[in-house]
Amino acid sequence: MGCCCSTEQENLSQDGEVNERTRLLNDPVSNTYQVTASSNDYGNHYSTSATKKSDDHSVLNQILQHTASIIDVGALECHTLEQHEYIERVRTYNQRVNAIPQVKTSNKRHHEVQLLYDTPATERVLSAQPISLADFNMMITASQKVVAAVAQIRVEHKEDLVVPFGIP
Amino acid sequence: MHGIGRVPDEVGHLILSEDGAVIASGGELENAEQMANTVLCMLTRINKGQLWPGDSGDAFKKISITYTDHSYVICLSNKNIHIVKRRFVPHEPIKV
Repeated sequence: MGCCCSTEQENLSQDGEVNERTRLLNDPVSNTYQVTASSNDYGNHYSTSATKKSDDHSVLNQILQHTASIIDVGALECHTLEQHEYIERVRTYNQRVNAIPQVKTSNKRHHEVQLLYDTPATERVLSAQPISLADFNMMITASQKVVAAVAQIRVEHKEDLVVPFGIP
Repeated sequence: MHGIGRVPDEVGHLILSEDGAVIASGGELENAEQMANTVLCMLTRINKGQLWPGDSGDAFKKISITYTDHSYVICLSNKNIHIVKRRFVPHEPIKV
């Protein structure tokens, strides 16, 4: 083995192939010409910076080929709108916004009464006849039926929930 | 102000300002601050447009919370919230 007082001979590789005993660094003392191994043998850590950059490029290109749906934001050109195009777009967007039915939002603040409207005839409103018993019972039974119906809502599992998209 | 007895079957009344401060109270609703808070929450946080999306009408004239034997009637008048607790005496419609 390779300890200090070993008597074994150091068996270097005869064929020049790489094994565990191949020198990684050039022998500084030796005068013989040492064939520098290629960078592929030792990994990127020992290669020069130029080859490292080309390796990075090749790896990046491989990744880009695998995921072909990449949008390169850096390569986008800056969009400048022409005046007429801008006006046209404004018109189109306004048409679409106005086509949506508007929700009437009151201008009252959040903590103001929104549900009732102010009436001057206080006692007349308060003294009005209460709802009839028939209406009351109808409301109770109807809401009980609604609660029962909502409790019976089920989800029918027909298709898979997770679907793989078409990524090659 | 509000006198007891003007509203038939009344057992209590509570008058709040528009921002929830108790102005007057009497009967069973005397000093009923919990009731006042609940009613104020109900009136200010509910948006009628959310409850009835198809209804484009204005706000309600009054709101009644009806239990089996009593009911609370809430109305907004002269910037004040009037709450009246009445005995619920349901009447049957006259069948002709």
